[in-house]
Amino acid sequence: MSYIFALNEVKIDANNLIGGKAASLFRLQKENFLIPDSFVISTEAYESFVEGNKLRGFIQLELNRKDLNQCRWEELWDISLRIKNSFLKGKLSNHLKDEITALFHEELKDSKLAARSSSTVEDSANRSFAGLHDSYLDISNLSQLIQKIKLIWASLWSDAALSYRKELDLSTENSSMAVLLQKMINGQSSGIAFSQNPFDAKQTVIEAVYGINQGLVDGKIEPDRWFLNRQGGKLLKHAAALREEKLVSGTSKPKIIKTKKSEKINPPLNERQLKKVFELCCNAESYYHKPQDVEWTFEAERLFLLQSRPITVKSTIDPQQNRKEWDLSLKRSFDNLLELQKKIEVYLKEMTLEAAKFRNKEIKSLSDDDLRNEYTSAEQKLKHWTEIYWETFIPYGHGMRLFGQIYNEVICPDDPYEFISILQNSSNLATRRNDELNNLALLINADEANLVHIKSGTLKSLSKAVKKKLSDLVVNYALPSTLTELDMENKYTKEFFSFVVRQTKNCRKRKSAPKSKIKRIEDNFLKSFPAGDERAWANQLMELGRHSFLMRDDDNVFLDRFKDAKSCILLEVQRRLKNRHAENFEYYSEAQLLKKLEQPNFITEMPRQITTVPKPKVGVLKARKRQVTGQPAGPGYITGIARLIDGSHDLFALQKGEIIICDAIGPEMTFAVPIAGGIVERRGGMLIHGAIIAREYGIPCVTGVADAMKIINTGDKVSIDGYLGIVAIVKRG
Amino acid sequence: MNHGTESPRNDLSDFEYAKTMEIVRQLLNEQKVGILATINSNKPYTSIVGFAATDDLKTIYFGTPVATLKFRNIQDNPNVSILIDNRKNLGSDFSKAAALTCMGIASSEDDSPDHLGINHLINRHPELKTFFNSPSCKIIKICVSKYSLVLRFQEVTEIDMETSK
Repeated sequence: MSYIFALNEVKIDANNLIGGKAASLFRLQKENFLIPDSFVISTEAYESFVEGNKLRGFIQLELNRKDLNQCRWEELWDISLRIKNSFLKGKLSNHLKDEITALFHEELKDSKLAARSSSTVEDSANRSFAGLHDSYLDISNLSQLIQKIKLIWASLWSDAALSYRKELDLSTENSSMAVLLQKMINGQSSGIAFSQNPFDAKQTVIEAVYGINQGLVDGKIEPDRWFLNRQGGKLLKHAAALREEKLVSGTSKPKIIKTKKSEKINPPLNERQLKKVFELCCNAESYYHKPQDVEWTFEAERLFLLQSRPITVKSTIDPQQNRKEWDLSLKRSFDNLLELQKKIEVYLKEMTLEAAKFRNKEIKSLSDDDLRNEYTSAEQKLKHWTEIYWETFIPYGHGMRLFGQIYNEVICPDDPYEFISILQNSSNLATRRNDELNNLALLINADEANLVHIKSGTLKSLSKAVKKKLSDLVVNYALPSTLTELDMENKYTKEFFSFVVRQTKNCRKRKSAPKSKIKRIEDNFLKSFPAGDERAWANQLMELGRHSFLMRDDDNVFLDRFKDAKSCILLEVQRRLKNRHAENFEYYSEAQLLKKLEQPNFITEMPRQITTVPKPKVGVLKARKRQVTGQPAGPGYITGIARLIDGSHDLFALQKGEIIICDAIGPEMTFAVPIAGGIVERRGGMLIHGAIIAREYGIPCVTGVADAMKIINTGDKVSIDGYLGIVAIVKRG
Repeated sequence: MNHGTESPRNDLSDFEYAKTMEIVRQLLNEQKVGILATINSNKPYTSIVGFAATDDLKTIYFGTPVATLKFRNIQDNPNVSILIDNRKNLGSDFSKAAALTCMGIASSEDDSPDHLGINHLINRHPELKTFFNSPSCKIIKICVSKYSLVLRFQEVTEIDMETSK
């Protein structure tokens, strides 16, 4: 049996044997379109690899551990990472290896290769999901080729493919992956063409760059753009680009270089070439009977067709409208992440300065008008920074994932999350805050007088050192600044102090891998890149990953300062109103409070009577869940009493060893983690706050338990299996 | 025909015994999952488990997370029974299916010095390798004391493994 065919020798264009992309190229080739020399590793090779390495059952377990409809994108990314790791660890059969080796030495070794995914789930005639599966360029040796083949196979289960599994009808039984191997065309100029402009049906658009067209497709190189009349191809407009850079073949992957002087002056297509590209896309359209999005490249005067698919228009991505696309748009390229990093450095400075302005303002001495203005300005700032948080900080979080992906591809570790130990190089603000809280508790406990003051409520008499530490915590770690008022009447302040005093006795210490071990893992990673540019790149990627990992928590602390500024002003508003009116302001909205400050006669409609409805007596329960699964996010096993946390206030009630059951551990909640026995979160993922902090303290943690808050009650005895992602209710409380 | 010492009355002949044990072996080698019965406060409780048997048919292994009820049951009472059968969910099952009830005492493999169970299980269920290797997964060893084989609807043969040939 043969697993590999030359595309021009394929007997039938069976989608299920050679995949959608290869089948489409096969048909185009039959119609005499010029395409690069191509070979296909059939889906049977994928099947034999999956069978030989017993991967089918593994994939099924990964896909069925939890209902995928209840998985967030982060969880799909995790599943995909684990599947990819299992493919990388798999071995090719001798038969397949021999065939690939023979092909490589006989046909391919003189030119660089492109390896492209050709899956059976993409049917180019009807559907167009660009970028679902992986493709690689500039492959120059056999071992590299074999690794990329495995990665392409694994990309059948990419996070994007898992997101669209329903649309694709993705399943372990019916879906498969072929690999298309092509000799790289050393294109002098390349580009794309829309046979019909998505924004003007009478036009054709052609875009072109110097070099290979990956630069254009990835959006790294700005193209020249021509608009032509669809009927006859008359040139309507040419929008020239600056043409400063181009993407060309590199040693193991393409690289960007400066363009030549002549290239800067002349557009990448002359009139004759433009006409040829126009004809190419018209021909593709008439063959498919649908407007086409065509990728092409010129080698000398030979125009190659690289790909042709129906046009899809990308609309602007709105997380409310299309969560899937928005989630996938979070996956950023290395270059884009570096740009975000630069922006973030500037933003953090601005945020610190602006937050300090609010903090330093004596709001008690402001006039009512100024107080209201201050509120508006705090609200605006919060809105502004929240927007930036979503635009910049959230996508930047992909930096740690990109590092994890590359780490696993080159190291292929037994534990797919080994990379986290490298990321945890320095502690984030939330864990340092926990350390500082601990120090505060030590300070308080060191002097019996402090404990007496806390007990009797005379907080203002606490020692100077305690007050100083408290104010440091507020300034540096964004604890609510009301704390520094030392007002025992304030509920938060009261609970805070009683918690802090309790905390030292019960607190777990942070666990970190020995520095020497981390160094070894780190060196091992860097050494797998050749010294020089590539190793420097790997180093840069590692630092980016670390910074992104750190920011995932820290950004919230920075944002919290603005939330705190706003709530301080509101508290002052409430204080003034209470002094002036004998009214209950509990049910006033923020806007109503401010209005009341401006117009003392303003009276809000009667607040709805809030009566406590007694819970209906539970009769015979017909069915309830006793054991549920989520993602194994923090290794360890523990049985303990559950405590539901529905807001950070609830955390103060947490007793040592209790299991936190919550929607999501926010960075403002992490202070309680060191005394918890285990964590169960509704939100899923291995790299979310709760999971990260649980690992730091060695606390068993299961995330992505969809019904956690519903099926578990405070007081239930539960077992948490952080290795396998199981939560079992042992005994109802 | 008997060789050597004569079998006690009622016992199967060597030939019949070998034939019966072959069916037992086939079931244990061909089936991947069985129904495990444990005791939960004096009441039977059943679970489906992936198992592996040793060549001498004296031991059956399976893996379970420690958080499960079946594991807690075994800790409270190690008497277990596991049903292994080849039914196909067809009407013919009543006449054609073979069902083997394996009775024995379960113990966690931590308690025994040989850690053979995990290798048996991984060989049999390679897709569950990560599961078996997980620190929270216990490998349970059932020392089979008795098999009860049901053929042709109601024909039952009991094999005492503690005195078996």
